[in-house]
Amino acid sequence: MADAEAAKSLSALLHGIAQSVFYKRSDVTEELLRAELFPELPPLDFRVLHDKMRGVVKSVATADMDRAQLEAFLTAQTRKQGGGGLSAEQAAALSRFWKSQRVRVRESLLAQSRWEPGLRGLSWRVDLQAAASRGHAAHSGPVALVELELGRAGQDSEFVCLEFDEAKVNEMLKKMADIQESMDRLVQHT
Amino acid sequence: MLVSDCDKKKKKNRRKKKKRGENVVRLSTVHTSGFDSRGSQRGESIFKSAGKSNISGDELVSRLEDGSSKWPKASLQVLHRLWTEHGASVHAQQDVQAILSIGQLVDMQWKLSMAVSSDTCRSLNSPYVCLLLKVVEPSGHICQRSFEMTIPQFQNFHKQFKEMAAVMETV
Repeated sequence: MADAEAAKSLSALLHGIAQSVFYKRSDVTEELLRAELFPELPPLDFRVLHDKMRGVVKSVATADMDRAQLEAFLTAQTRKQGGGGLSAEQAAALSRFWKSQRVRVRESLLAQSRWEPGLRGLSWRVDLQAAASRGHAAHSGPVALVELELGRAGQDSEFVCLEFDEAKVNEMLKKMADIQESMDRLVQHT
Repeated sequence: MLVSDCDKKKKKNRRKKKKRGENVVRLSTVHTSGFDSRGSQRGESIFKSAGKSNISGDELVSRLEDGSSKWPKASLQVLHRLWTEHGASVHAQQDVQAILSIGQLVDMQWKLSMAVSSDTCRSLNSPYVCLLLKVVEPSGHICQRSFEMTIPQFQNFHKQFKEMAAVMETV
């Protein structure tokens, strides 16, 4: 019974650490985790546990360990002498944690490494100009209006509205075909 | 045949701004003609930024006074009244105009990159496409916008443009 509870608290601690370190939840603090999960543990003891778990999680995430690498790493950690190693229960909790969170942690690390705004959304419509006060012959014909939603992680979106005539759309398509070609060549070489 | 909704809204706003904003602008030209060129430039930019920051009539008057000591008191009183009545709509027009500003693409540059490693993740191994757009706004001002896309995002982006072209062909 006590073991199951201890395992649950440990798992929850690892998830809490992930929330704070990777998913940028600033409200998930060390103190909150202690109060919720290990209320009977003295603050200093909890700090030692928390820091050790965080260190291990960060190492595993930075190296993006696969199953084999993780097993090897955890085994080495459990064999460590002195207080710096991991217990069997802790290793088991870490193994379960990484199995379920690896993809999500990796996604958030990738997102953190993107410093340009990302494309959050794209909408478009095609208009046909019915009439114009100055009779621009060049503008007769369909016009595409494109709205790009751009934004950096954690920031509000910016909207960029552009208009394209048919020629411009075809220019864009040609460039995108070039990009696709480059991508195909890249895949062939790897 | 479709008539652009965007264009309709733009025309409506231009008419509105002409009616209300014009009173304020006309008054300022009368009084800045006696000033040096710096004074009149400052005057115009004070009104523009006043609209953008949605300040009160009191604040506008104090900014004008800071800009130049030559504003006659009577003019300031009229300006205060006009701004209190119409300042909010000038601000609203500027807001809407910013949203409805539709640019034209002048140039598009691209690069295909592979994010290899970072301080938080040793093996990123993540390819991405980065686009740099040169856009000319209705005001004539050219600005650059850049953004990143993952490979699936780029492929969807490409697909959208293909659909756009198909629609434009049939219209």
